[in-house]
Amino acid sequence: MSELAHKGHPEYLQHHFAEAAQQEDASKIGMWLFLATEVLLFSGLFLAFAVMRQYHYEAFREGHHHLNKTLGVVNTLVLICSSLTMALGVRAAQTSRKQQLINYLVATLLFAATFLVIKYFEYSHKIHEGLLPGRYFTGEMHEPAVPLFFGLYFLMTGLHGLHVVAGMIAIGWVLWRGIKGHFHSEYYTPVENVGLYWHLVDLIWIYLFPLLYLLP
Amino acid sequence: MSEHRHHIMPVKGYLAVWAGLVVLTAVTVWVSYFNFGMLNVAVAIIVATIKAALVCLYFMHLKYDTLFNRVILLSTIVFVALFMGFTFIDINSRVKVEPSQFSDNSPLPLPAKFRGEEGKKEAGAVKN
Amino acid sequence: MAAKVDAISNVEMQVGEESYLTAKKGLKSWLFTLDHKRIGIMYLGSVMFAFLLGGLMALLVRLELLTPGKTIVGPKTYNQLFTLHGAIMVFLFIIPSIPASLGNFVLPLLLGAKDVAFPRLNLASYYIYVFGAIFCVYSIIAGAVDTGWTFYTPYSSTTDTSVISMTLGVFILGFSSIFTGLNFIATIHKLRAPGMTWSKMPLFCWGIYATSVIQVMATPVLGITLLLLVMERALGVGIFDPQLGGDPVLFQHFFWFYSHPAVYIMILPGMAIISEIIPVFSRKTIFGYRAIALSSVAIAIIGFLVWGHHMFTSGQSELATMIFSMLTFLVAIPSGIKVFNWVATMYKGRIVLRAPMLYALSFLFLFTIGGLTGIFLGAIAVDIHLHDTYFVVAHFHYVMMGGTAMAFFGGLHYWWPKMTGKMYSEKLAKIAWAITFIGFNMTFLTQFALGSQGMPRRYYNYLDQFQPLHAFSSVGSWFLGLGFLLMVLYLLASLRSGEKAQANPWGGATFEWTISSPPPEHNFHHQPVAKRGPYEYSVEVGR
Repeated sequence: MSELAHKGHPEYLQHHFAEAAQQEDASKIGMWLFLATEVLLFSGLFLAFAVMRQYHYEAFREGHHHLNKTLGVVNTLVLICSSLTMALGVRAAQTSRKQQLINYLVATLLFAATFLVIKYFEYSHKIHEGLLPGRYFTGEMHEPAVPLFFGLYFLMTGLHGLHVVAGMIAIGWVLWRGIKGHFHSEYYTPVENVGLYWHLVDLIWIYLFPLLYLLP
Repeated sequence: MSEHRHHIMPVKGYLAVWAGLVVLTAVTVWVSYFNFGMLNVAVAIIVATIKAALVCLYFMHLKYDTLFNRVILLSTIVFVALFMGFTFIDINSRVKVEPSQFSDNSPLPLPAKFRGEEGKKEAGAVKN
Repeated sequence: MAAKVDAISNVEMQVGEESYLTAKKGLKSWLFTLDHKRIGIMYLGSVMFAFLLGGLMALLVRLELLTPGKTIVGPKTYNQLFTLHGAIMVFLFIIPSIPASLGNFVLPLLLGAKDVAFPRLNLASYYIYVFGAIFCVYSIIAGAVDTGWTFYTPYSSTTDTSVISMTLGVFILGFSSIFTGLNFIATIHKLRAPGMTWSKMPLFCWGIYATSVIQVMATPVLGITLLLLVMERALGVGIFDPQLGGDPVLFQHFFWFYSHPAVYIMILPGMAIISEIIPVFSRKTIFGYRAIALSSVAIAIIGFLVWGHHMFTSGQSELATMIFSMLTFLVAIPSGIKVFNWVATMYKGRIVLRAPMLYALSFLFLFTIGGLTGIFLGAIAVDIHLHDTYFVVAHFHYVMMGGTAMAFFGGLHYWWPKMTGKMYSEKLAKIAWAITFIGFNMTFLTQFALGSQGMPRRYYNYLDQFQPLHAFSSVGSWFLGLGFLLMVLYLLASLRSGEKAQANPWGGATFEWTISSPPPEHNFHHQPVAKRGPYEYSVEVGR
């Protein structure tokens, strides 16, 4: 066919790209744009939280006292560790160390699972006390807007939790491809992009944690 | 080209960033036991932003990435700021609070709404 | 000269080779295609279907408004009809219309690329669109929404119609829109032909680029808004409910943070098409290339700063209202720059009045009216009087329908020979255009008068004194429908019996005209090289 189309195309290079660098740059641009959309998605929740907190400061303070600071701290550390193992996993792919990549990805998955388990205990405690969103709230309260706080708490941590699950699926996917030996120093964009996504999950938690658990 | 594209950070670097994040987490927990009044939120956000910057620059390799990817992140922040900023211009300059069962039960001293944290505590005191 | 050589070799090389339409056969080859051209065609079919559906509802709404009181349907059905008309037209037709159908088809061709950056994501975005559309259609069957396309709380969180399925549908459609935008940004950054610098890129690509930026940056906020609305209904969270301590005006901030920029998602691609058509049919290089290109980006950015002008009467603070009003006037500047440059392009050109150019000219005329009345509405004092009247309805129909839809049909006629390899009947095209143009102005010019006399929008009933104007408008809508029906008929007829299209029927100088009509599967045989600007006709056009 074309003189230019398929000359020396490595297996991982899609036909419409001329060279690997072009493909890699394009997919990273795509990933960063996707992360931008994620940030803007969460920004709506943060804004709602900020406005409602300003309207109902006392209620938010009361609601916040129901949250378990210790578990929040532990989960923060768990996510930071998972970010580290993810970053080291990307490095392993960059340096073509297959076994190391697999180990780090598995470690990341374990940390992610730990996060979810802790979150599960937190949630079941809240559910047990009736600290539920909106009209399902049956717990004790002094301020009338406390259900609003728990509505936002569950929406924010819930959406974040969904992202953790999505991240775990993505990590599982690159782990599978890593085991099959798809990645090496010349081609590891999927690992890198999944890494970026996972760091974003961590980034969002970095803001969620102080706002929900630590303030005021 | 390839050299330039694939910047590989030493493992030590990653560990240092991780240590920094752990320390900053400790800091943010520690400062939460002090009351800076209105600055509480600001302090929490600033510490979180330093942590976020560490993650972005090193874990996400933004320090070694193309200009455009950095522009994407920065413009995201700008758009978030616009969204929040303009909304708060409205929220903070409304003459009347939205009618709600709370303001009906206990008429808030309206000006207090606009005096930040202190004002709100006053408002809370009136309510109780 | 080099470009000419390129052109010839690209056309000749594929004699005897199959086009993208016939290269692979069978339903599967379409459903699983990764070819941007085929995906563009599938989008085109889908958005046209949505347009017919939305148009049908518009005709029913206008028919109901022929007389005061009940004409054909009851008040609740009427509310559902105008809501569905709005929601379908906005989310299923206008937003994906130009970028996802025509843009998908021509953007890689204009750039000299083999495909978009992420072909699989492109196909996924199409199926997400279909999936979202199914939710929307389901909501029609399961007790259609009656909130208006804006879904304002607290009505939307209390009405008993199927708000959840509609909002979920729109939420899903948002993903489709985001993926298209994201794909195009990466494509424009990384897949331009060698030699095609940013300042040699066809203006269509600039317009699509600006559009994509908005799609990526604004759509997520719509997503979270709708998700919050769903939660509001499902859990009674209360963020937007004053009964529970929430703030309904906050919902409007959330909604318009997306939906005002979304207006530019709709109009910028229209402007992008006009920037292609006008120089080609004026036989003259575009005037003020840089001004047109950068004004697209300026519109995209300023578009994010003005959303509060939808909320002047909502209880938004006076300070915010004043700021938003002032910023609104800013948007007029880049839009005005474009209009002046298009007119200057035509000045002393050899204007050829073929169908695409007629649509482009009607765009100029109608968009100018729509844009200027937008400035009126941006002025606070005027808006207090005209808010939620038919004046607003007329204004945004002049922009959306007179602007975007006219540009879309202009682009459709412009690229139809390239997409299908067939020429449509020029005579019928002109007749259909004339009927559409007259019908459009009958329908909507009257509504400016209605609105300024105080006829509120979305009302089922009205005072007898408004009837003559309402009836006139309704009759206009029949002409409009007739024009579109005729258009669909002759376009479909051209597929069967149209004359075979040349590679370059209009004498354009951009890359898509250097390959055969319809293009081969992989677009270009040689990687084209941009050695000259996209509007330098002197080399090629010697008519």
